[in-house]
Amino acid sequence: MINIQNIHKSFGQNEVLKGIDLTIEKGEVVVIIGPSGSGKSTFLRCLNLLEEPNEGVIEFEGKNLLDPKTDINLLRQKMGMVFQNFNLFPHKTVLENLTISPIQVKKETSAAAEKTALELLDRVGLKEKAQTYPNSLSGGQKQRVAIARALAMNPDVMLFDEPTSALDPEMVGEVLDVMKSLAESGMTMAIVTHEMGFAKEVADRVIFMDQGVIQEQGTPEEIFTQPKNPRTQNFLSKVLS
Amino acid sequence: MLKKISQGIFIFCLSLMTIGLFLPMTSLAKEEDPVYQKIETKKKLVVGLTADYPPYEFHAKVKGKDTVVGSDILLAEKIAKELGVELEIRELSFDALLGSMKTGKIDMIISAMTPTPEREKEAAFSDPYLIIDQKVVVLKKDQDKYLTTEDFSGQKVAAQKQSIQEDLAKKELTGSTVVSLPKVTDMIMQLQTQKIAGAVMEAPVAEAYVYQNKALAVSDVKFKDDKPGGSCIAMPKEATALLPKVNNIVKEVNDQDLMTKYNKQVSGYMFEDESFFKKYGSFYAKGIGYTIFLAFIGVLFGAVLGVLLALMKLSKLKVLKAIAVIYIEYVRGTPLLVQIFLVYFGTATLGLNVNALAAGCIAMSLNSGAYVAEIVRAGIKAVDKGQYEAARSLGMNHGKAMQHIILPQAIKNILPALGNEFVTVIKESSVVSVIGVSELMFQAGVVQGASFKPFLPIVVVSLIYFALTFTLSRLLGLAERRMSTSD
Repeated sequence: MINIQNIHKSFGQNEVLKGIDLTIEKGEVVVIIGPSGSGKSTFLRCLNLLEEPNEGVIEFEGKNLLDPKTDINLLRQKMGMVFQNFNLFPHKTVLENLTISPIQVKKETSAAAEKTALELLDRVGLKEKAQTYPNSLSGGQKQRVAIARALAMNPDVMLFDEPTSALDPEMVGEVLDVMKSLAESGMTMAIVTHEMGFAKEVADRVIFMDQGVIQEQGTPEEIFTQPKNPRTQNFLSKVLS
Repeated sequence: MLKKISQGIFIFCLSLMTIGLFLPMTSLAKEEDPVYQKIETKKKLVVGLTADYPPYEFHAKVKGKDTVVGSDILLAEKIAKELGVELEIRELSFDALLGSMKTGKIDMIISAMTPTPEREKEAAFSDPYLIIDQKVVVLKKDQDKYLTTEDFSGQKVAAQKQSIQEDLAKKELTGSTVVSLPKVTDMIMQLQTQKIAGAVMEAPVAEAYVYQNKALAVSDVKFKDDKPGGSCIAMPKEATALLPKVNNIVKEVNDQDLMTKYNKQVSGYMFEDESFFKKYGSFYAKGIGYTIFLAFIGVLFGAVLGVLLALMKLSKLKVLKAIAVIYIEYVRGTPLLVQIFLVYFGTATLGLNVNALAAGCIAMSLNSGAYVAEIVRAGIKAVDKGQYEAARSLGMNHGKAMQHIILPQAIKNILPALGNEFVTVIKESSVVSVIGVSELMFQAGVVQGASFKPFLPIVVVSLIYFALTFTLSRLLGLAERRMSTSD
């Protein structure tokens, strides 16, 4: 579904991604782990061109994202993104956060968009918050709304950029539960996270990134129990202890 | 002349006159005079004037009623009486007088008007009924020092810019330096603060100021050529029968020195002990209206322009960005005064008929736009970058993301700053007075002239400006607090 070849990305003199190759299959849940500064968030943001790679190929559903002729807005509709800081629209109600893009971009009727939105809010357990504004929600609730908002566009793949890093510890669980049920429903997902337990439980494949390259990848068992790369061993010994 | 021509209204008059040319007119045969015929049939003489020039024509309370009085009025009454008809006075702005006569709205103009080559093209003028002496006003304590035109040698003397007094001073006050000032009140103020030794002006004006201020005196200095120009009665060119009749009356007036008598008769009205505000309040009220109008229009269109410029400056397109940057930097780097002249005279050079008020509005909007652009840009920049990314990640294009997500949030940052810009614009609009828009500062100048007081009107206008801006910033603070509690 997503085919990535030789992605390079620099910020000024600093080369953050030094040639990444990766293929994500339909229905697969890929979890990307690694120390901070390893380039994993930048890599994820390259997938929907929030960061533009300096070179490489990103194919999504058969189309090259880096081809100037490709309508990136159309492809982004098929790639939902969840941010570390939620990025809910504070001037819109929870319901409007979910309906604005389907109405404005997909030209859905507001009735249809609202119906879908309420179903999604029900799915993340926040139907009763539909008419409130995001600022009155807790962090966990905000992130669940953000997931529902991304789902409202009916995407083919969901990208999660450290979705629980800005949350108080007691709220991490509710968000992971929503993500878990989403994974079980067969959604294709790419997740950057520090939640190793979650990675172990939900991931089909775990990718360890460091210093701008993929150091090692494999099933959760392979990575967490028998890491081959000394960098992986070093990283895991720090985060799992 | 205190009556300055506002160019815009002048152009308006010209167009009125052009229309006038095409209006149906009765036969123009030499022996017939349609104007005189009209006066005869209606038994009424309609005289047009501008009642802001004491002692010739001005407003005063007569038996508690606001009336136009003055020596010109007494002259008009005399003419009406001689013609055996009733008199009707019609007040018009000075620039509109000739146009109104061309279109038959008034029969003649008696408004201390001096014939100039331009005016003589539009109307016929009687013989002068008033020859005005030119005098030098000095400080009373120096009265004995200045007795002849040579006594000003080595001193500074003031005259109104581009006036006959200016020419006279340059020609006859040998050895002196002539300072050209825009208004008589400026000359008096400089004289009182001893920055100049004397001020050259028309005798009646000089006498009025001396009457008002005991520290001043009219010097005994006599000019050799002290009779440049004089006031005449203007009539339509086709008034061939009326003109000689009027000239006869003027001759009688001159022979009997009636104007001197009239001036004495009305001088009582000029210095009535009426409170300053009762007398001039309406001037300020009108000025407040124009000032707020200017500021409102300036900020409104400035905001539209500012949003456009801000979006251009934030645009990825280099050309748009460059245009916006150059515009903003240029406008912010040049004085508003210069911009106002650029717009006012620039539009005229382009052949556009833009009156002073419109030019003022345009200049204020163009100026304000540059400042608002920076406010809007800062407001947009202050919206969290994640908001834009979230919008784009949902498939919105740049325009939709700006329209639905960024700008609605930026407005919260922009509105308070925009309110401050409104306050700034109110103050800066005072500069528009230079092209004759009758806003507060301009009105203060008018009151300076009419009241013979150079200082008080400026104090009053400063208080009005302060009251306006202070009230406004308080209201804005209140609105801001309410807005911030709403989220």
